[in-house]
Amino acid sequence: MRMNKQGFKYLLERAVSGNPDAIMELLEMYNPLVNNSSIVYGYIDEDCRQYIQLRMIIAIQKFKIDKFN
Amino acid sequence: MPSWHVTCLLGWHGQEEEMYLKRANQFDEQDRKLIAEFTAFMQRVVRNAKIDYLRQNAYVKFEIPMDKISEEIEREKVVEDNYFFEKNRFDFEEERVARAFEDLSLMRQQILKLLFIDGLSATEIAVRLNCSVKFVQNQKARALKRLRDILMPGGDENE
Repeated sequence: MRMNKQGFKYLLERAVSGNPDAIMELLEMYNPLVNNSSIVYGYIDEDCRQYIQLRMIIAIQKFKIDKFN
Repeated sequence: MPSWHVTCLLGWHGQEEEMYLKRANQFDEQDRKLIAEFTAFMQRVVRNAKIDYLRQNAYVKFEIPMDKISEEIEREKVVEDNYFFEKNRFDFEEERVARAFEDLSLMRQQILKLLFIDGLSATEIAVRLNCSVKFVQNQKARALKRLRDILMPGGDENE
């Protein structure tokens, strides 16, 4: 993981504020979860994968990080 | 007991377990809480997204890509396709009967063909179409009623 030096919180703060690099890094982190969830009828459904990733990008920016300050 | 419990929970052994602990120790307590919270959040998002996706594409995605089908299944499929193609060319004696028949939905057409042309029983058709026997009987009755309505609009007296 590349976020070692500044920690997960820094990464998440950047992602919530809309930094594309940070969002990409988070998506890579959760790639296994997305792949596992996008299996439809036994095969990875590419449309489903992209739909889930889109929803994740929208949802990341709604995450309430203020609670953890 | 505690060590066994931890091993069971983590599911890691030996080197992998050490690596996991090393990696976990890199984050402080607050970071770990944040990761747990965020991961739970992501899991909820992913689950809801998948449910939405399946709802939107429930009837579209019911096919297997061609390259995944093994040769044997493909050969069987060709035979079956030809079978239905031949059956589709069944000639009705009267043109208006044929036109009325084409007016029915595909499922009802298929059920009527299997019932009266192939002579299968309702149970066999239910197995073949993967539906219940009652469904086959209902569809048969409705299809026949529809044919009757189209062909004899004023009832039997007209014939």
